[in-house]
Amino acid sequence: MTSTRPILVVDDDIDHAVILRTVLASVAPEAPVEMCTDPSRLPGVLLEAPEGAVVLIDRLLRGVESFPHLKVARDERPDLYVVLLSSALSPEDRARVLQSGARDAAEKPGSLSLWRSMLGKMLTDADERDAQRGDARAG
Amino acid sequence: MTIDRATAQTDVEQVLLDSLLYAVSHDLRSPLLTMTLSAELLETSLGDEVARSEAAKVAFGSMQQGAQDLERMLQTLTLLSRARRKQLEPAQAPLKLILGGYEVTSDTDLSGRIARIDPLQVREMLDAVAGEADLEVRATMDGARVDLEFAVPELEQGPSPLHAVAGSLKQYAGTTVETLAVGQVLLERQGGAVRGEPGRVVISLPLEAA
Repeated sequence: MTSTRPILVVDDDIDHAVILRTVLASVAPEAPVEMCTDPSRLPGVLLEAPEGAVVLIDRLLRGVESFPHLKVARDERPDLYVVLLSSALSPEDRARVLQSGARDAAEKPGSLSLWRSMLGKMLTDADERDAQRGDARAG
Repeated sequence: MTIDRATAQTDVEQVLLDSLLYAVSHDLRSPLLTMTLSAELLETSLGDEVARSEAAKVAFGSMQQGAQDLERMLQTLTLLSRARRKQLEPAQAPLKLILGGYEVTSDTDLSGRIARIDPLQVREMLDAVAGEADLEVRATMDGARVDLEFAVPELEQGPSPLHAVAGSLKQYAGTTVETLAVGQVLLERQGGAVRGEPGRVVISLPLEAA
């Protein structure tokens, strides 16, 4: 079963955002996808994201690192599953991203098949995280 | 200009060059990704039309090959940029541990000698050269340093792996020489040195006093 979880794409590179939306249409055709390509709408667009959304946010937005937005999401909207994407990501960068509050971080892959498998895994991970939170609340 | 001012200016230039290297390696990958993924989307959407057209097949094949070459070269710049920026902690390890598993020849006793260097970095360089084969390393003591010399058939120019990569990114990106060049950056930041000439490389490591 494909995910119906809402997805928010935050990337100031319009080409990347559109390609990402196109790939998402094949990975999760029933998931509603919103795009934000204007960083000046942050953090508002994050705070108003749909409940439980997966947020795919680019690392550099108009040349400025998006780490502060990760912290805002972690503190104000813990229901969001925030994943940082970057054209280049070192192990040290990744550790810093996770410390800042993102659930995951990944380098943008160079082929569509890798994009599909990466996004599919992220959506599955988000679903599993929610299932675990549900179990914890029930327990 | 005083020596202090000249040194300060050189430091500023180094920081700027490091920033430029980072920007080149990171920022150029973004439009490259756009082109690669767009070409793939286009090829997918055209489907059989591409298969029927010889010109389209050649064009998509060439685009893919060009993108792979660019990706390979950008990856090398990224690795060099990370090596320049990586936070390093003081490290040391026994020479015997660093050279364990290799065929080592030396005129002097290496036991008990400690190298003031990250041992994993040296191992990574030696492992890259060795691959699946045995690697012969000649160790020569030189005062407070030890020189480790070994064959690198891929290296066709000196005076070091980093010079070779800088001289021909296209030739050396993604090769053993790239791994040696990245290691060279890290070792030199720790007081080590790496030099090379066609067919061979010497890694020079600082030693603790005996």
